[in-house]
Amino acid sequence: MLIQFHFTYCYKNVKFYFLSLIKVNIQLFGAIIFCISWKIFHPDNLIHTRGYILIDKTINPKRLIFILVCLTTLLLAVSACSSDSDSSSSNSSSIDKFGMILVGPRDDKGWSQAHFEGGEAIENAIGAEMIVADFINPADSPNTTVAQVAADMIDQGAKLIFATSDDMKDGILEAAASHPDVSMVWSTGDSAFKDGKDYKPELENLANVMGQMEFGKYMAGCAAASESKSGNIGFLGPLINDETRRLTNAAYIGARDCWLDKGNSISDLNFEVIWIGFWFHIPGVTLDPTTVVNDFIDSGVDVVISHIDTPEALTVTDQRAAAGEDVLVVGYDYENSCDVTPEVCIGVPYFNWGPAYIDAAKRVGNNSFSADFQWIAPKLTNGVTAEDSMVGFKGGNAMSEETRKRVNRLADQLNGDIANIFAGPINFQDGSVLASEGKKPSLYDIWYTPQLLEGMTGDSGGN
Amino acid sequence: MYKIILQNSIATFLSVISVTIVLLILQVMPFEIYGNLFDGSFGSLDKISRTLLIATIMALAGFALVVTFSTGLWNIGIEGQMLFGAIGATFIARTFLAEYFFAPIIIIIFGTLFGSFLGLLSAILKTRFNVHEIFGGLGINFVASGLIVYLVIGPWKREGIASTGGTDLFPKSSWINGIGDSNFPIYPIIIAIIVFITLFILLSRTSLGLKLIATGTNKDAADKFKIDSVKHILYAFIIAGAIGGIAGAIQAASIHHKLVPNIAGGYGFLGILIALIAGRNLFTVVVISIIFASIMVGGVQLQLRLGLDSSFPYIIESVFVMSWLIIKASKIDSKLLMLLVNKETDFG
Amino acid sequence: MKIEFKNISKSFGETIANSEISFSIDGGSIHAIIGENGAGKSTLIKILSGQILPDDGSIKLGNKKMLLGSTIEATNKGIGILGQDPLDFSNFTVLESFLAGNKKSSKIISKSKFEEIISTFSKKFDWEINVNSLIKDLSVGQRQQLELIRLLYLGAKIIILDEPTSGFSLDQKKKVFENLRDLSSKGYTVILVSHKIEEILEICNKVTILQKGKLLETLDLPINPKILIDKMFGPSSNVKNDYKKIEKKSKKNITIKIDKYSDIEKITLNEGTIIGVSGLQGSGSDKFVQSFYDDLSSSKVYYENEVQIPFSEINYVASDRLEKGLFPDMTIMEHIALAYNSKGLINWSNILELTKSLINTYGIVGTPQTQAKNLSGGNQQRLMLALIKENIRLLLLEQPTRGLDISSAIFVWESLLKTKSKKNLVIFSSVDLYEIYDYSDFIICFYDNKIVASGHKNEMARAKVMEKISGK
Repeated sequence: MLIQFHFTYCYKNVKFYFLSLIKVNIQLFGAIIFCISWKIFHPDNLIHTRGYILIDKTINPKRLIFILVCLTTLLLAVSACSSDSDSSSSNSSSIDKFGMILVGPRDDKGWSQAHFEGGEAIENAIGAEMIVADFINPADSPNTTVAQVAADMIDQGAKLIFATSDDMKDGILEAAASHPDVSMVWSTGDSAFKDGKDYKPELENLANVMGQMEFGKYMAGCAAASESKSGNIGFLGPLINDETRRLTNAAYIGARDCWLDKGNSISDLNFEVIWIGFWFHIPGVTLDPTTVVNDFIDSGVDVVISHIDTPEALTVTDQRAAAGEDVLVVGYDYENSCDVTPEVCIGVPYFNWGPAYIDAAKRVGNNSFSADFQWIAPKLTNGVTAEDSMVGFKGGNAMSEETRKRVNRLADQLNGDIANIFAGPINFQDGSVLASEGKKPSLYDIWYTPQLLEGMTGDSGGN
Repeated sequence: MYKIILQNSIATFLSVISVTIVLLILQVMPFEIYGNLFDGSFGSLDKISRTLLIATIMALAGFALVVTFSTGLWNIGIEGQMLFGAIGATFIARTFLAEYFFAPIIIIIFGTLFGSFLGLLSAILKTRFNVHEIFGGLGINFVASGLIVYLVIGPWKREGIASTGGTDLFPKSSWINGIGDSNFPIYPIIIAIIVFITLFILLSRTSLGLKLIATGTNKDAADKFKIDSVKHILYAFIIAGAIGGIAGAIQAASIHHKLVPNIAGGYGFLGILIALIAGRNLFTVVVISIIFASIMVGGVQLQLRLGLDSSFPYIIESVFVMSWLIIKASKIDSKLLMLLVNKETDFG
Repeated sequence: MKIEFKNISKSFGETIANSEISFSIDGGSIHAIIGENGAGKSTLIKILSGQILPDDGSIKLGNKKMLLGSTIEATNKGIGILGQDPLDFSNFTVLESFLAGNKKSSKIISKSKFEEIISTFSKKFDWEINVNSLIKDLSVGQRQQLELIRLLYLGAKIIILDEPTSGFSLDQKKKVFENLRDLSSKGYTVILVSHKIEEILEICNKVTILQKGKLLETLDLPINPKILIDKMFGPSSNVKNDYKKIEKKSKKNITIKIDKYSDIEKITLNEGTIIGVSGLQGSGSDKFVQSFYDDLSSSKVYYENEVQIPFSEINYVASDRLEKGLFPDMTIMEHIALAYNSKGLINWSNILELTKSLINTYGIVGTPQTQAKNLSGGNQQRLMLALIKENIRLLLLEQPTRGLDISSAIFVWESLLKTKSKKNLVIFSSVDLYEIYDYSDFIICFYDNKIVASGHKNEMARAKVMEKISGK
């Protein structure tokens, strides 16, 4: 069973690797290979060479065949890998279409897959057809902007567009402004937050949806600290912005609460944050999450919390655990992330975009769509996530019963109010106060978190 | 001349056939793909605009490479030069100058300067320190992309955010916009035409151009003609860097409106391929750039309409290039041409 | 194996190199192909060896048609070509280059086996090749010998020799000819491309004469040499070796510094002298000539008042025309533009006029659009002469007539002598003692990178020069 899983994952991983290899590096490799082959084969370079035995003017037929075989093999490998990424246009009987713009691949076992499945939920619920564009980020698709993709989707009849990354801000704002008649949802954004910093009242067609992942992160941090023996927790962060800071803070608070609940001293808890620079690994641009996680474990961390879109933290931890080390990991984003490496996975805080997205699609259908700012709280009963909750936490094989109980108990104590997570006394890294004793911060203060908290190690991205 | 055009047509035809075969192997309908590619790149004014903008950038990268290829140099550093052009553009866009109506002009000028600076660096590495330009170029690309990441998450980051997703948007006054309400990239095209004409005159009508070519063909002989090859290598790299810088600046000011780490987008490397295919012919560079741009822009449709993987355009492009190069190298095209015209050997 | 050429045609742009050439070469014979420079010999040979794809025509080997345009096919069919200047990995030892060039056995390379092969062949031909010496240290002749060994080892049955004897001494030449005869008697076919009529008459069975890309005639040998010369150059050709030499007008003194190469510090001569630098291949005579261009600080030419001839008025004509003197891919017109229009915009219509007149003056077989690489050796040399500008005062020539046929060589010297009065000094190197004696006023003898003798022509006896340059 386990072996089978490994095989499946390896295969998936190989496929993912292939695709990113082709996308990111084809020009580089291509250019170098062609440079060399041109230098060798270019007829002009050879015509005044008289060493006929050593350098041939014509290409050796055997070599030609060899090249062709290599080429075909490579392409077959790619096609074998990509053929199972199913086509989305299976159900065309519906009347409506909607667009889904993903920042990474649709099967990343993380953020983008969660959105993709949210889109599939719409397809199943109301039969609308989804038009998917994945890899829409400056590294993978430098020649494609979000605004262009949105325009193309609208061309094809999409009546609703989902832009699913904070990185798509500029593009979706532009698209919303130039297509005022098409409804759009920018997940994680704040353009419709009336009290927010970047409120865009003129964009009446652009709504925001986000789940209160703070709960999920609280439980993730709690579970991590509960399972940690050393108290050294490594947090693999993506890029630094308001959202990632507040979620990282929530994870820290969760870790703190559970660490204390276990009867330990707060001074023994080391919570270190390292940011890689983007939501996933871009070679040459971001830090390599594989390296970061290995460094964590080398420095004595025994539980890694991942906050990036892709599951590198899980695979690395699994490898280290297989080498006999006592290390565990918490995933992120996608409900079934733990399936990647079930044995070392404590659990995963996840998004369930389906209900919110179906709601948006239905409202477009009955013309009741409005530019709402939704920051949806989870549905927890006794700390256990309900099935239709927007965000939640799902335990994995590596979670002990004791931890499960502790997480549920502490989560239940929050009473479903996000402000309770950040209840005072609570200070930022520079000593400034987020909330004093007995006080709770406002939603505004939570949303626009400017710094990491006192007690955490890591860059706040301050100016 | 006819012979060359005929030969190239045969090579193109054969390349398209091999692309078709590969597509069939991948079990997709080639003609559906070609149709979508065409429609996706030329189907509407907006799409034509997009294709032309990308083609402009590719063509500029190709032009830059034509200059260095003429001088017998491998300007692998073109990516870095484009990155530096974009850095130069961003530098201006972040100053008070960006508020004025003439901001785009200054942006282009600074892109040119920054790009040529990096070109000069490659040249100095080669001539003074004897570093082969391929390795120097690779190193320079590395440095440039490192610098750009540093700038994006360091000094030029968005307020309160540290993300490699990019800097703040440029002020609108410094965007290079389309004509009127449309996105038709009239200014980039004008710039490209100016570069085209300048290069055409330079390479075919001036002794400087002829000396550049001479240096590239045979350095020893250039020496006998009293041509200072070191000086001409510097010139070639500076000119190429300047053109690459323009391409980078346009990329920043016209497409992204901000600085992102991968802003060169691989167009530099693509430019190498374009120049390789086109030889030293500037006009062919334009044609191939348009073909490549339409594959890139239209390729998005393959994903959106046919649900194909987003790597398809790259596959089509690389198979096309590889077939072309193999056909050219093995002289299949000229042999076929011989078969076709048989006795008529006198083509002139 | 019989070789049958049928309707071979090849043109480079507007230059027709071969036009419907049909003839056959009998197996086991020694067959000569002769013709003036530019007659199409080299092109034909390159077509046979697969380096050039003809525009039309076919070649039959025995009864089978050969696949054209592929050197691999040619090698597989046993065609081996021995060039004038065999290119090799110059930094390799003999053995290494032999190993690297070995395509026969792809499995295990046995060093000792190859050593044996080379030494067997060397003994057989009475050659001296040390398998451990570097290629670059070998003389041209030795390189050719090595090349021949390699060809035979690779199983060449048809051996093409392109101007083979220019690097051989007289004794060596005799040996090679003996061996060629021996090979042909064993069934090997030998094709000899040459313009040295004595050689052809000495060993060949048949001769094919090409003229301006067309087949003129294939004759059985022996034959009266006069007839052959008439056929080759046309009946009215007057090949003779005497020229009127223009008298020196001025008597200004000019000094050449030579302390780098000799115990004597300098030589002072009259202006307008032609200096012939005599020496065998690799004796350093070529380097000596080149140093006046490359290394102005140590190799100086100056007047009484220490005024050096400025760099802009020095012209150096390299013997390696395509590798060092010309731009292979550029046209005649472009060369003219580079030499005569060195600043600003180029007025191509003026250049075209100039090019046409220079092509006429120098009798270059080619159009303004012909690429240098498509010119024959003689025409390349003519082009080089055409590029020498009027204001040149120091003219340096490295082996000016190397590889040229008699009429081209004569032309080269005629045009050089015509402009001699305007030059302050001409220095040329040559391996051909006749050339040195025919054209120079002052002779410098080189051996082992040193000047071993120098003096005015009338002070230097031929026998003495011969001795000096061979190191005796």
